[in-house]
Amino acid sequence: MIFVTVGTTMPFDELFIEVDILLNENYFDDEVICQTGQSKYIPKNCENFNFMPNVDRYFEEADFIIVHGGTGSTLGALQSGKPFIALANPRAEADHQAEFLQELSKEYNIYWSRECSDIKSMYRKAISNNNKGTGFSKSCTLGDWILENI
Amino acid sequence: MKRNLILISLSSGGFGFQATNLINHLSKDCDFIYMTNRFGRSPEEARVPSGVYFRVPDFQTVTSGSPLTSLWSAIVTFFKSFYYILRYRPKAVIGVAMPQSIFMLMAGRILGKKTFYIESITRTHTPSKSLKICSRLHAARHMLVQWKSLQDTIPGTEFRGRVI
Repeated sequence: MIFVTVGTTMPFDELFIEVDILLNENYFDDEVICQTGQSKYIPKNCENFNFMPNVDRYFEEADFIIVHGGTGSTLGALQSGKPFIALANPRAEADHQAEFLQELSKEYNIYWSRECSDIKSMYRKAISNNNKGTGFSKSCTLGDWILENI
Repeated sequence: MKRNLILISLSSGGFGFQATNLINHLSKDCDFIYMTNRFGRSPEEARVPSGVYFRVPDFQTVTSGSPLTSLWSAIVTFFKSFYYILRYRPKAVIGVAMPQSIFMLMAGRILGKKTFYIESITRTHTPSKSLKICSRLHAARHMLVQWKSLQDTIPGTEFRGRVI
């Protein structure tokens, strides 16, 4: 299963339009489930829902993940150890999703883009290179500092 | 050894992901009161330690409502936080990126608590509006960023590591 998720705070219609086009072309090898959040465009060719209190089980069940560049989605995908690609939502204030993905890509081997039209090429690359969130650190250095300073 | 009680923000999405990681890390020494929003998590849903929690209204960014929505949220958050701090007397107040947390921190600062605002890890070079407002209102004693590259953009911010 391929899980597509865009979080709760911003619409990302371009992503779902592109996913729908690719579904129409039978491009994906697997079924697709989309979490659409505040998006107005609802993909016609796959199962979808807008919000759910906890999407952890979709991360667990997915074989491949497509995420927007928000923290929860991107780090959730990294943490899951599944192959994934990330798209920066242009609506993010000060383009911070692109900045975040850019910085993250210096530490982890991730595929990301500003252009939804890149999904096709990134998907193939990610599958063939089997890029996963391996080596993702869950350390909490800031937590240690806070404990010392409470 | 006496455990510390902390009032902390817990929302859904990315801010919640970061808060959850921090909470689970601190939980070896701390207990929690949670401030959460409409999409926010109960402790059980969020896979964090159980604790008292209260809900506050969403800001305009989530509801797409008018600026009055944010003003209402700020007022409710401030007074609810004030009440919960007086009632439970937490040692510290921690806001993780969520805009409401600025007003929770203000209540904490007025009541003499240790206050920490944590900027979202997605902010690498450009500070969020929340951090700018937090700085302008002196809402928190410590304003913590998670990238060194962000440290100098607003005076007084500190880089002390990351929650993840």
